[in-house]
Amino acid sequence: MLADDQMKLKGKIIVKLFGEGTKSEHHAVYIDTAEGSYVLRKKGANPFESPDLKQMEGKEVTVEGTLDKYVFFAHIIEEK
Amino acid sequence: MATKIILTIKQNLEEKYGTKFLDLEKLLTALIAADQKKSIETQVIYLDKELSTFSEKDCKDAVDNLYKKYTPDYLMIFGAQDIVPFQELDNPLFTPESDSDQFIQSDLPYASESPYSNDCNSFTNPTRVIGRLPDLPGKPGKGDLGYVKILINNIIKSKPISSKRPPDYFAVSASVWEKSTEQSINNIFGNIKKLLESPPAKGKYTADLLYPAFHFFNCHGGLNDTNYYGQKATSYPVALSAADLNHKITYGTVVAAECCYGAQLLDKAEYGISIASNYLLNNALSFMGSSTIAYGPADGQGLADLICQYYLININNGASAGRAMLEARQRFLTESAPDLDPYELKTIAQFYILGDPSLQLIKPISTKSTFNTIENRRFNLVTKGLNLGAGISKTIKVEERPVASNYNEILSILKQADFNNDQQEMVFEVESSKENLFPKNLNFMGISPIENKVRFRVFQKEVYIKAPIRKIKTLVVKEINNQILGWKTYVSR
Repeated sequence: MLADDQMKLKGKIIVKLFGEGTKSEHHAVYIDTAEGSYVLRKKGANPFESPDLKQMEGKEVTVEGTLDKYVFFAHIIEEK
Repeated sequence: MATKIILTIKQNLEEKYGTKFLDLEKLLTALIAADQKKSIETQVIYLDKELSTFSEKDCKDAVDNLYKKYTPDYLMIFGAQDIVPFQELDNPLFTPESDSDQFIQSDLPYASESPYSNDCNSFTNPTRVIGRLPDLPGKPGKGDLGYVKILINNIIKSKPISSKRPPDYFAVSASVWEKSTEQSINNIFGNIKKLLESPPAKGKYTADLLYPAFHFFNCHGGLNDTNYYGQKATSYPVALSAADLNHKITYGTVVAAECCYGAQLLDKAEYGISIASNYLLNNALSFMGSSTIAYGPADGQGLADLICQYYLININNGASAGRAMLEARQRFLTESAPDLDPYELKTIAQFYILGDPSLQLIKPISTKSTFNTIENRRFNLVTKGLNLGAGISKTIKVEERPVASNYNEILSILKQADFNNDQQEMVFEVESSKENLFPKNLNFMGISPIENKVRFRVFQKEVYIKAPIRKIKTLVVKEINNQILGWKTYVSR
């Protein structure tokens, strides 16, 4: 059972440009779900570099964590 | 005697601090006594009686009512956003693909006479000297009284330090923004001798390096993240961790951070202590930064560069922290007026100060040739703010893009700016409020400024420097009645 603020999402890992034209612009890892795309970040990880997540590009995953605005902070990422 | 009101919400404090709330009240009482010795008459006012709900609108209305009642020289909001909410303004640049901030968490509306609104355009008339002394965000019953005690005791013992010309500083820039940061640092401090680039700088600075009273950052920052980051090509090393500050910051330090999310306040239990909160915990007295994604050009000066440097220059000239921020906002608006593009609108809304706004951090070099009362300064600032508001029109995003009959000219500008014609375009129009300013028969270029709207066309493009390095360039074209008035570019950082 998930805690109140915890969520589980299913989707595909994609890499695309984040913050086009801003000071935060970089290629970020997203989880693309039926409800929308969210920036995917491991809690406490560098928001601008995520080589381990980028290696999962194209894979279907299930993630567990919290959603804040447009970022999903995951503590569990499992490949299907 | 100067006057200060401290505004906060008792019910939220009681829920957060439980039985320690009475100790918190004692700290505020001690602050009142210390202010009295500095010739500042301070009172704590709980907003609760003025509120039917704790909504942003009710809080804005209550602050306005109390401000009008007391007309204080300084207004200090006490508490993080879970005690007194930020005002969430609609982000005019919000698009999921580029600027992901749907809202801008802002204290700007509290600095303005305009009534509650979600529209940044409503608050281009700042007149109030305000700041926010934050506690640590946290769940009910989890209030950190020790944190508040340190911040208030630091305010109580504060004394302005003598101005140095040029002032000593600690500054870090993402390597890719070196040129822009050099200009900012030169404008503020008169030299770039101590500017560090990241990389190679990677945090873990010595106390000696961090010793100067002025700190400046032009780095990356991320939502709910406790680091700032440098950049060179596709490498983003940590340029500063919140933990780097522990026990190393000189008492009285003042900080300006251009970074995205540079001044966010985080629940320590959830994400760790934010850089802004940890600066204050480690004896900094004022922190100025952004709640959301910020902008600025790579090589020149604009947007975040300007408002941050204005703030530090004002501090070094002897302004109180709150006045330094109000004057920075007004100068930024003066430079941007009369028609603000959407990037300028976001910038004015997103920067705020943390710390007691009444603190004078630097003692100005004394001159005996002038005498200026606080009443005169406030009168001038109120007049200037109201005048700015009256002269700045609203800039509104147009959902259905008007076809450009001056398309060939636009194409020519796109070419000059090294753009092509297939970039994403957003259009913003300035609602005319020039009826009161311009005589009816006064025309420019054969165009009546009353009958025609100023329009901004915003284009964005990718620039490949050398694969895989890439940048984004934004082109803003200003026009009226299809005649081009000018254009400028903001390069992504």
